[in-house]
Amino acid sequence: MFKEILITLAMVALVGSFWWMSKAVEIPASNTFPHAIMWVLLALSGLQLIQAVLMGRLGLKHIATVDHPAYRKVLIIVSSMIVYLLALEYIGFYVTSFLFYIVTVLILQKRAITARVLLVRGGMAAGFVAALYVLFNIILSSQLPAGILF
Amino acid sequence: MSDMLQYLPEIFTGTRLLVLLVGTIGGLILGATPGLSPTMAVALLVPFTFHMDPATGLVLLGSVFTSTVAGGSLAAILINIPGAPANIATTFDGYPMAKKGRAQEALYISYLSSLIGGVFGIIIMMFFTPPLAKVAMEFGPSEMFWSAMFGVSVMAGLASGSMIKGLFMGFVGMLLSCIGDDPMYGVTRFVFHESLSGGITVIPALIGIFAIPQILGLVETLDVVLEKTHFKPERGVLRKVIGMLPGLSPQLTLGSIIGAIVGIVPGAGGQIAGLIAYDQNKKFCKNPETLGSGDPRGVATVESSNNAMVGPSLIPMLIMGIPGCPTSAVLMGGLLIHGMFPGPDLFLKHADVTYTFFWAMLFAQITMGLFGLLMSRYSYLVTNVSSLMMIGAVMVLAVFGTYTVSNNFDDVVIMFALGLATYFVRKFGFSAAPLVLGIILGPIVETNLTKGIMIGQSNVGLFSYFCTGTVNLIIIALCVLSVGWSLYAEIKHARTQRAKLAAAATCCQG
Amino acid sequence: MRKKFTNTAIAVLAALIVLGTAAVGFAETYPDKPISAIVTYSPGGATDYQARVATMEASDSKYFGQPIVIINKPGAGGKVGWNWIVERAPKDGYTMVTYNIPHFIAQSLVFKTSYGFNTFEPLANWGADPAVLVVPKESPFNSIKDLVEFAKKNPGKVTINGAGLYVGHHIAALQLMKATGIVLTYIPEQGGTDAMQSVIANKVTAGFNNLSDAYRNKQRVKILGIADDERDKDFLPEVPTFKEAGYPQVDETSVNLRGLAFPKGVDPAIIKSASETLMKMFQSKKVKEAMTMGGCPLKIMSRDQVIKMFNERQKTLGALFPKK
Repeated sequence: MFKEILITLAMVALVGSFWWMSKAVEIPASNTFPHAIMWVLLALSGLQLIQAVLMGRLGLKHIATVDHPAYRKVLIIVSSMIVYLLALEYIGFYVTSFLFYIVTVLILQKRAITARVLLVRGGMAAGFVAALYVLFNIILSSQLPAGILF
Repeated sequence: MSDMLQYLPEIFTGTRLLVLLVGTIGGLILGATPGLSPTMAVALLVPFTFHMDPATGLVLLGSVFTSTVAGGSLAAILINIPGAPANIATTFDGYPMAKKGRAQEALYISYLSSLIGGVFGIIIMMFFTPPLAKVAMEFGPSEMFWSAMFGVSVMAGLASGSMIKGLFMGFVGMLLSCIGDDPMYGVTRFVFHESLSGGITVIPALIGIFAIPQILGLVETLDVVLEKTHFKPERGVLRKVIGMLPGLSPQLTLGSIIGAIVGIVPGAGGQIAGLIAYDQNKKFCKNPETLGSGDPRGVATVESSNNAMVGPSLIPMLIMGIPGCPTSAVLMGGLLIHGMFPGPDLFLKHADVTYTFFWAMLFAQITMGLFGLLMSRYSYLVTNVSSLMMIGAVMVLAVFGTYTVSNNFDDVVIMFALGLATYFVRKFGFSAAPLVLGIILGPIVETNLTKGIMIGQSNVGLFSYFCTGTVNLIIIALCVLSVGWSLYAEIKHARTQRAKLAAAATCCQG
Repeated sequence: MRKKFTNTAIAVLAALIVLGTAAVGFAETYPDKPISAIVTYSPGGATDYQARVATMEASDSKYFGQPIVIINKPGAGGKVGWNWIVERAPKDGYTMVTYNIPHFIAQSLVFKTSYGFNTFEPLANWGADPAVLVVPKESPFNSIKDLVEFAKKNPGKVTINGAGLYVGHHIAALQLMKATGIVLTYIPEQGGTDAMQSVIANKVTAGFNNLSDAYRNKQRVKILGIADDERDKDFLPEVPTFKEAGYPQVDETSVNLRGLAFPKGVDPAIIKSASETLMKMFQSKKVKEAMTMGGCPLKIMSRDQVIKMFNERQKTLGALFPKK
C-alpha cells in the first residue's frame, strides 16, 4: 500500500507541475491534449489505489522483487557520469571519454592499481576511443565538440 | 513478371555486387550503434550516389536501409539496448536469451527472421504496390488518429499483470512528448528549463531509457560472482535454429503480416511495428507466460515484423511520391537526384532502374541474412567482455550516439536525466518500453487529433468525422478488441496468480 | 645589455611576422579545414536534401578545396538551430548555417528569438520554391476565384493546409485571407509531402504547397495559382499568378528561399571570399544539373541581393505579424 501511495503522490506532483506550466501557454487550445493526458494519469493513480485496496482485502500482494544493490557503487558511478557530462563540452569529447573510461574501470575493479594494470586499461581505452573517432569523425563526418583539448 | 526477371542480371555486375556487400556490412554495423538510425545512414549517403549511375546508387541506398534495420537487433540482444526504436521489443526476449548463454542462438533467430520477414515485405512491394498505394492514400487525420490509438492500446498489454503500470509509463511518455513547441499552434509549452526548448525526441529518450539503467544494473551486479558465461562459437547452433523455424512459423507469419500492414500505413512509421507484433503474438500464442523470459518466439515475431515493414513502407512513395516514413522520404531524394520522379509512370519510364532496385532490395535481404549470421558467430567477443569494460564503453557510446542525432548537447543531458529517472522507477516495477512508445505516439496522436478537430468542426461535425467511414470503423473495432483482450488477459493473470499464492499458502501450512 | 636588446628585438620582430602572416594568411589560406554547414531541420527534409546537393562540389579545388559537412540541428521548426548559431556558434568562418525565408524572419517577429533579419551575414542564395494553391482532383473549384467565392458564402467551412506554421504556405494563406476578407482554417502539417497527401486524399478543401511537390503530383491535383510575381516558365507555365487572378496582395513574400549564411562577427575578408566561392559553386554545371533533376527550382542570388531581400521581407512580414 505504501508503494501505491508513493506512486500517487509522485503522479500528483508531476501533473501539478505540468498543470502549473500550462497556465503560461498563450493559446488555450494548445493545452487540450496535455490536459487530457494529465486527467488520465490522475485517473490511473486512483485506479491503482483501488486495485491495491482490493488486492489487500483478498490477501494478495504483488510479489515484491526488492533487491539490495550495491548502492554505494551506483552512487559513485552516477556522480562520475555527472562529472563526465559536465567536462565533455569544455574539455572535448574524445579526451574526456578516454579518461572516463579508465576512471570507471579503476573505481570498480578490485585488483590493485599497478603500472601494468594501468597500461593495459589505458591501451584498451585508447583503442576504444580511436575506434569511435574512425566511426564518427571519419565515416560519418560528424563533428563532435573538440573543447580545449580534443 | 517476365519484365522483372529481365532486369535480374543487372545487379550482378562487379561494382553493384561490391556496393551491395559494402552497403550491407556497413549498414549492419551502423544499425547496431545506438543513435545511428536508418534514416540518418541513408541521408548521409544520398549525395554520394549522385556520382554513381542511378541503379548502383539505389542498390547502395536499398542495401543500407535494409541492413541498418536488421542491425539494430545486435545491440538489443547482446547489451539490452535497442539499436533503433524498431528493436525495442527485441530486448524483451533477446537479452534474457543472451543472459542464459544463448546469445548466438538468439542472433541466428533474429537474422533468419529478419530475412524471412524482409523477403516477404519486398515481395509485397514488388507485386502489390499499385493497389496498396490506393489504400494508403485513404488515410487522413481521423484514420491516423485511430491507428495511433491502437498503438496506445498496445501499452496496456506490454507487461502482463501490470496493465496499469504499462499505461502509467505510456501516458507519462505522451506527456513528456508535449514539451517544447506545439506542432499545431506553434506556442512553446512546458519548457521547465531552457535546455528543454527543443523538446524530448525519440532517439535520445530511447538511448537514455535503455542504456543508463542497463549500465547501473551492471554496476549493481558487479560484486555478485556470476558463473562466467564464457562461451565459444558452438557448432551445430545454426542447424538447431533452422530446425526450430517450422515451430516458429506462426510467429513469423504473424510478424511478417503485421509488419507489412504497419509499413503501408503512413505516419505511424515502422518504429512501432515490432511492439505491435509482439503484443499481438502475446495475445494469440499458446502459453504466453514464457514470453519475456528468453523465448525464441518473441525474437522471431519482432524481427520478422520490423523487416517486413521495409518494403511496404516504400509503396506510397514509389507510386504516389508521398513517403510514408522518414526513411522513404530520404530514399525519394535518392530517386530525385537522378531525375526519376516517383509516380505511376516510374515503372514505365525507368523500368530498368526501378526493377534493378527491387531486385537489389531482395538480394540485400539475403546478403544481410548471410552477413548477420556470420557476425553472430563472433558475438561471443562482445558477451565475453567483462561488465567492467562494458560500463564505461556503453556510457561513452550512448553519449556519442545521442549527440550525433541532432548535434545538440541538451539532448545528451535529457538522455541522461531520463535514464536516471527510468532506473529509479524500474525499482518500483515499471518497465521502460511503454515510456518510449508514449514518446513516439504522443505527437502522432496529438497532431492528428487536433487536425481532425479542425477539419471536423469546419464541415461534417466531429462525431461523423472521427466515427464514420469504413477505415475508421475497422480501426476502432481493432482498438476495442485489443483493449478488451488486454483486460481479459489481466483478469486471467490475476486469477492464476491468486491460485498460485493459495497453493503456496496451503503448502506452507501443511 | 646590447645582446639582450637584440634578442628582444628579434623576438618582437618574429612575433610580428608570425602575427602578420597569420592575419594576411587567414583570409588567403581560408579554408584550411572542413567547413560545417548547420541545417536547422532533420536529415531527409527538403532543406537538408538541397543543402547536401548544393554543397557537394565544395571539396573541388576550383571552389573551397575543403568539404562542407552538413550538420543537422533540428528542433522547434528550426528555432533551436538558428538560436544556437547566433548565441553559441564559433565565428571563425568555419560554421555556416542554412536560412529559410520567410520562416526565420516570421518566427523572429512572432516569438522571442535570438535571431532576426539582421543577425546573419548572408553569403549566397541557391533556391526558391514558390507556394502554389492546389485542390483535390474531385474538387468543384477550377480557379482561385471559385474558391474565394465559396469561402465568402461559407465562412469557416474551408480548410487549407501547408507544410507547417510560419512557413511560406502559412504566409500565403494569411495573405489570401487578408486580401479577400475570407476566413480559412489553416492546418499545419509535418511537411510538404504530408500536406500534399491530405489534398490528394480529399481530406482538406485546398492546400498551399511547394511548387516542386505540386509539379510532381500534377496528375493527381488541380493547381489553381502560384504565389509569386511571375509565372514559373520551367515547370508550370500554364498556372496563373495570384496577381493575374486579381489578388495582387498575395505577392512573392511567401516564396521559400534557401541559402547559406554566417553568423554576425565573421571576418569581412572571409565573408567576401566565401560568398564569391559559393556563387561560383552554385552556378556550376553539376550542381545545376542535380538540382533541376531533383525538381528544386534554382534561384542564385548574390550576398547584396540577399541582404536587400531580407530587408524587404522584414517590412512586408512585419505588416502581417505586428510585433507584440
